[in-house]
Parts: sequence; C-alpha cells; structure tokens
Amino acid sequence: MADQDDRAVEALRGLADAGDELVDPPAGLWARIEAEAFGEVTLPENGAAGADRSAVVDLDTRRPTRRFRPLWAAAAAAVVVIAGVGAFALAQDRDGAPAGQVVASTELEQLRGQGAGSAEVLDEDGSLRMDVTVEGLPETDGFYEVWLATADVSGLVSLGPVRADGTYDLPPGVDPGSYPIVDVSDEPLDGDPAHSRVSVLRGQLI
Amino acid sequence: MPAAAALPERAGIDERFAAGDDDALREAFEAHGRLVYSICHRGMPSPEEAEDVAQQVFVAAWKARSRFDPAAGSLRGWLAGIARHKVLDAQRVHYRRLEVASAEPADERGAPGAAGSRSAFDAVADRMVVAAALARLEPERRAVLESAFLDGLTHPEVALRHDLPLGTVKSHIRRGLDALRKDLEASDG
Repeated sequence: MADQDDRAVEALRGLADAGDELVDPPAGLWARIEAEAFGEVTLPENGAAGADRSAVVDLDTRRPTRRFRPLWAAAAAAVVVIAGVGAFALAQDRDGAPAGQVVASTELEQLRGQGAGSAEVLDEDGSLRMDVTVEGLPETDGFYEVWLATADVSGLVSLGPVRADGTYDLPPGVDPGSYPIVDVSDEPLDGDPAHSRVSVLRGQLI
Repeated sequence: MPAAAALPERAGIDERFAAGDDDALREAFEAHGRLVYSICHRGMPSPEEAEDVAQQVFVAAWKARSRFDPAAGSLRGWLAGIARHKVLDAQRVHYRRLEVASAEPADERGAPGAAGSRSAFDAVADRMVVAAALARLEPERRAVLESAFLDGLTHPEVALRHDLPLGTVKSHIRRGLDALRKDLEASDG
C-alpha cells in the first residue's frame, strides 16, 4: 500500500510546516447535537424566525434537515402542565432550608449563534423562584420568553416574557425535578401563546 | 510540532458507539468533536455553517451507528469520513447558490470535484485526521513518529534521541504509519 503510506507520510510532513490546525468547537455545539439526536426539538434554520409552522419532517428522512415537528405543537395552545403528586419534591427535600437557598442552576447555551445566560432556582420558605440572566441576544421584532420544560421537552410552562429584574416565580407544582429544561424563545407578536419553536438559549437545571 | 497533549480515550468507545450505549454519543463528541469541527471549519465559508455541518455529522453518525463496524476501522476515521462528505455536499449547495445568485459559474478553484488534483481541502483534512490520531498514540510511538517525520531525523538519529533500539524505531514507524493509513482510508468514507 505504498500510495496510502505516501499519503500518511505526506500528511505527517505537512504537519511540520502547518502545525496543529485543529480548532475547538463552539460552546453550544454539543447541546444542539444532543437536542437533535435525542429529542423531537425544533432547531429552525438560520434566519427562519417565525418559519413555516406547517412544516413536518420525519426524523428518519434520509436528507439531513434540522427542522422537526416538536411534540408540543400537537398540543397547540395548551401550555401549562401541572403535576399534582410529587410537586415540590425538591423543596420538600429541603425542609427548613433558609430563604434563598439555591436548589438548582445551569448555564444557558446559545442555540442560534448568539447570546448567553444562566439560571438559578431558589427555595424561599417553600416557594420556588428562578433567577435568569440573559445577555447578548439580538434585537427582535417580537419578544423573548422564558419557559421551563420537561426533560423530553414535551411539556412546557411559560414563565412569561424576559423580565428586567430577571426573577420568575414558579407556579405551584412546577419544580426543576419535573421541569429541568430552561428555554428562552424568540416570540412573534401574533397573539399565539404557544411556543414559537424558535429557541435561542437552553440549559438543563442540575 | 502538534501542540495537543495526548488525552487518553476511554477504552471501548468505538464498540460502545456501535452498540448505541447511552453516553456513547457524548463520549464520541468529547473524543472526536474537535477533529470533526476542524474539518468543517476548514471546508465551510463561515463558522456558523461549520457548526451546522458538524451538528449534521454527529446526528447522522448516531442514526447510522448500527452500520459502523469497529473491526473495520476506527470511529475517528469513520466520523472524519462523514465530515468530509457532509462538507463536500454543503460546498456543492453553496456553490450552486452562488451560481444562481450571480448567474455566472462559481469560481472553480477549490470547488469540490475540481478535475484531476486533490484539493487543498483534502490535504488539510488529511493533516487534521493525522494530527488527531497522532495525539492519541501511545507516547513512545508518537514521539518516534514526530522525530522521524516532523523533525526529519534519520532512523539512527531517532534511535539515539529516544534511546531505543533501531529495530524498535522501525517497528514504531511501520505500525504507526499503518494506524494513520487506516484512519485516512476510513476518512475517505
């Protein structure tokens, strides 16, 4: 296999001049891969804010595409899912925790090439509050909205538009154990309360 | 001289990936994400497109994991091969869009399939695959290969530098090139 040997040798010798040309992948890349490989999560193509909502793509289509029909689209406008049993599991585990105890937190990864953020859930005498900081997002014609989602992103709870003070009271029954995903979406002003499927930041609370 | 430190790979990642184990995709990304992204970064006009293609590579690889045979070649080579193909596909789309937009044939230099010669992209992709493979070799073998091919020492000079018998040096070179060649072959897809 002289040809292949020559190719290997040529590449090796090329390294002497070129050096290590390897570059690190951007920070958000794994989150995007994980979201697409393991869940029906929408990752719209670049520049497609408010993209065609009727687009349905089978996960197994041969031609690779990054637009999927999310599970929550089937539920249309229904957004809030309340879990009765096991609510406040984290808070109950922390009986007597002092006010403002951090029970879960995460960095927020950028999904569309811009922005960064972090989220912290605090237990204040049994009620949960989430602090979310967000920076570096581009101006939008609509508004940015904060959500909590179940691990498979099938159930969503809206915490409303991004707030200047960055604090969000979690409704009763909503806790990081059941809703570990923090999501920030770019929402058009169309009066539709459902998630736009355009997520810009996401993280998993631990 | 390649700067990357030798990072140990968890044994059996290739097999675990083929078997579809729970953390195997993440492990594969941690072990080979840099190489895959580097190939995409070199082949695409923007970092955003590079990231997009790199994402497609890992998702496609995961979907096709049952078709990956660890006995036939390394996961590194297989992933690099998918990356090269996806980059070429994306380049073709990119050039077609340029042609449509400008109503002129796009500049053929560096375009995929430019007749005859191996493109500059091919040569760089080869170097990246080799650099990544080199970083994972057992340290003595890596040192011998670097001395022989990056520093250009003769075999006796390599033996002297590393205090090894000449026969060991030759064996390291033969087996090292063999491993690199296999990765390059696998990366052709």
